[in-house]
Amino acid sequence: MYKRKAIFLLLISFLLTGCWDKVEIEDRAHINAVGIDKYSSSAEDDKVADIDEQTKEAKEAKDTERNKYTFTFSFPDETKKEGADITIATVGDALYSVSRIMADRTNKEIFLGHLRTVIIDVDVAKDSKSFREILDGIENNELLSRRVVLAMTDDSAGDIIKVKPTMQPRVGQFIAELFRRRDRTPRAPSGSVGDILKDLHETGNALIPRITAGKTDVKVAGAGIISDYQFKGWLGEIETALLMLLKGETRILGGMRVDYKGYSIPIDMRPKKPKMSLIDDESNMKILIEIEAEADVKQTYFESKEDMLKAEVIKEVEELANREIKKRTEETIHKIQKEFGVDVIGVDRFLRQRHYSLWKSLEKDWRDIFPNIDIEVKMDVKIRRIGLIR
Amino acid sequence: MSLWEKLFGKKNENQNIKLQETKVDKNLDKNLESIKNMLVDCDDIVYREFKIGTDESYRATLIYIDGMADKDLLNDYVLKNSMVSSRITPPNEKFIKKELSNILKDKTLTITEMKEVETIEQGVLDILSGDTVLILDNYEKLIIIASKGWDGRSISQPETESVIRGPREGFVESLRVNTALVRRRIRDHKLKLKGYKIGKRSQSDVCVMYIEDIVNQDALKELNKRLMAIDIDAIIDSGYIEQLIEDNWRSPFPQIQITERPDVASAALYEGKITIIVDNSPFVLIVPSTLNAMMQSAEDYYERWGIATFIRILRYIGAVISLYAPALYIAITSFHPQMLPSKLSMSIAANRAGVPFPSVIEAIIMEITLEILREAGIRLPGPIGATIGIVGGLVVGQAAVEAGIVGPIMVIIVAITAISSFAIPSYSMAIGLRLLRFLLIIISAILGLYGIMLGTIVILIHLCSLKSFGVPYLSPYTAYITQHTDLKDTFFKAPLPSMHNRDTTANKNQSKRMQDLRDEDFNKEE
Repeated sequence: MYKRKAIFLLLISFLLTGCWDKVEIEDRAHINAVGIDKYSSSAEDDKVADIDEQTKEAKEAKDTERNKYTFTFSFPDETKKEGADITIATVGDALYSVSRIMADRTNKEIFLGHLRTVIIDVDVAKDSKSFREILDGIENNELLSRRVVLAMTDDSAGDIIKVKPTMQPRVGQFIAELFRRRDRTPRAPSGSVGDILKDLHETGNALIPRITAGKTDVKVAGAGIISDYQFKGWLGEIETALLMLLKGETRILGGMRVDYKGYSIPIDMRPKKPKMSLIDDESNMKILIEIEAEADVKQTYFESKEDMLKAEVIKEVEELANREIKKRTEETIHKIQKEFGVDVIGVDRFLRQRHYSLWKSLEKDWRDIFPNIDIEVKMDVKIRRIGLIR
Repeated sequence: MSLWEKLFGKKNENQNIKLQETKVDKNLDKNLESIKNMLVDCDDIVYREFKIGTDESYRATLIYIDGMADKDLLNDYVLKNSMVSSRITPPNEKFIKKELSNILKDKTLTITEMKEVETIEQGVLDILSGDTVLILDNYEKLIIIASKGWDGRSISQPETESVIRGPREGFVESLRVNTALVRRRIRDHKLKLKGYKIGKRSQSDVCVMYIEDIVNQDALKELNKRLMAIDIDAIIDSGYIEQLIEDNWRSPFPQIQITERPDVASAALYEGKITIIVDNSPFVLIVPSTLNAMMQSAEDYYERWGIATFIRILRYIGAVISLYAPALYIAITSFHPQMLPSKLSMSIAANRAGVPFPSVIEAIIMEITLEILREAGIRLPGPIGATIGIVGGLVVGQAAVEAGIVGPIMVIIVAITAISSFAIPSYSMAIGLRLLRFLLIIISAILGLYGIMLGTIVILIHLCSLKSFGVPYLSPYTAYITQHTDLKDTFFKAPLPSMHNRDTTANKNQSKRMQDLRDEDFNKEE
């Protein structure tokens, strides 16, 4: 009798704790991208969302808490081999609860385990309260991996989700793959939710990549600056690239040019991790950022007299490159300091790690101090590869 | 008493039926009478009555079974010698009267093996075993002439354990041939053979072999006890013995290793194990046995260590796949698709879009089909077997996918599972895993990966609790401290020169099996 009771209790404890959420794989809608927009009743192209508006209750509840956002989901249509996506949009107040609402409208179970991309409308990010809601919704969801791409857009997020890129018709996949190729271009910061959340937890500041919609593709370039869990402003493409250079998150920095004797020579750089150091002047705090980089010069001009085999030519070009990059990075720093006043360069992290006692005294007023400190950049470009020479 | 106990419970009846014993009489006719009484209506028994001596005054009878006794031997060396030679030799009348039996035994019968018994029952048993009984008048014993000689299968290549490199001999159905095959590999007087007759009616010969000074004594005692406790009417094959002496009959895992190869049997003897050879069965039992032993093949020891290690790891992978593959497929696709790469997940979803069954039903349909194919394959005549394999595997599989009954991934999973299960050298192990596979399929369909983990834990607990003749089933994996030297021959096989020690399960006094007397470098220049 005792044995039977024990077996019964064991069985109960096993069966009550199991995974009872069995849904066959083909009955799930594998959402690969979500766009989150602020809800506005005049969303014209939101035909599917209109269904909600047709019901009376929904109409009355339009501006209640429940309808704060418009979520646009995109998931693959398995019946078609070409990999076409289905997009549907709905209104709701949270990523989590919206899948329950969707249950009324889809024959499939919304499944976020394969979500690759989350696009946030900049209007959502401008409101600190709603932005933090969304961020927590992403962080808390156990199905979302830390590698989900988070990007911001000026356009409507729903529009981006509806883009069908010609190269890869699944937009979520496409955007995630763009970010995976980030090694090739530094014009956007890391979009992975893990990195962004880490930055936000540490300082409340972060860079979120910017995404813009085209007709048949999307472009990821530039960055939105988040300060205090709130959108502050956009950083341009080149500015982002230079900022990434300062932060040491670039492997290849292309698109730099130097004017050498009337010709413009493109330079590709492979920078090392920059060294940051503190030079404490009596008057003002000064931060020195030293960047070493190897560079490729793959093009000068045809039949040139000054070919790259000459040491002095190389020296001169290196010098020009140093000057050019230094100038432009310092401009960027200036813009970040004066216009946004947000320390996205990582000086705060550096001070906390290396000069903790100093940081302790500055921590409280860092927001006021940062725009006024001196940041100097020292470039050291070495041209290593010059391509083939006749 | 529950139904379980009624069906499977122990019934210790303890009824020792003592065999009736009839002493051999002086009178030949009386003896003949009682033997004939016992063997009434046995038409294959041959009674050959003849007379010995110049004046034909001494009667004798040969009794044997037609077909089991070697007639040439009886003709040339028994009948000829006693009938013809005894007439040519001038007999000493006085002498011969008293000592006829001794003359026959010591001088006349030119045969190698003979003995005397004193009871009729024993004599009859010997007749039934294929020996010949010689009854003499005025003699109170039966002379047994070893004349077993019947046609048996010749030694051929073992089918269940074929190897590329290694001997091609396999055990046959005849006990003495089998013991000789082992003996040929162990020229050591310490190799002992102990005979048992098991089976009340079959009286099958069972032979226990061990090397006296390296055998695991506890296991030997235990084995003796268990063999003596068997009280069954007949032993048809060594499988009967296996099932009657194994530690846990409820377990799906075989606790006794079987082999068809004399080299495997003798290697086991050298490791301090015991082999049990049963007459009429080419499968020899090896005890004690462990999971580790089930995953080894003879060839591991003949090939160099690197490749042997690699192949062993492959086998373990094969075992894991054959146990888990369908269960994992079900658990991941129906409960945790986030574990798959996105593209794979979507392609599985696309493939499954038209399949009308849930994945668990799909898996069970395919597994059952496969098991049927496998079972049918055994009985199909040789040349058709291969055809059915192709028709069953390829055509049915392909057609099932095209008909939309199962998804293509499921076909792959089932095929991989089937192939992997053949990577396990021990057939009984492989079929044990086959059963557990179904269990895991069902539990994974109910509880997902959590269920697979529970199932694995239950299987591991069970494996840890298993013992084979006192040796833990999972040793040496589970006993690192006391048996770490045995780990040299588990997942990986150490190079032969470094395997100095015998298994720790063998007799502790004989732990050394090799001394390394080689030069450091064979090519060293002097």
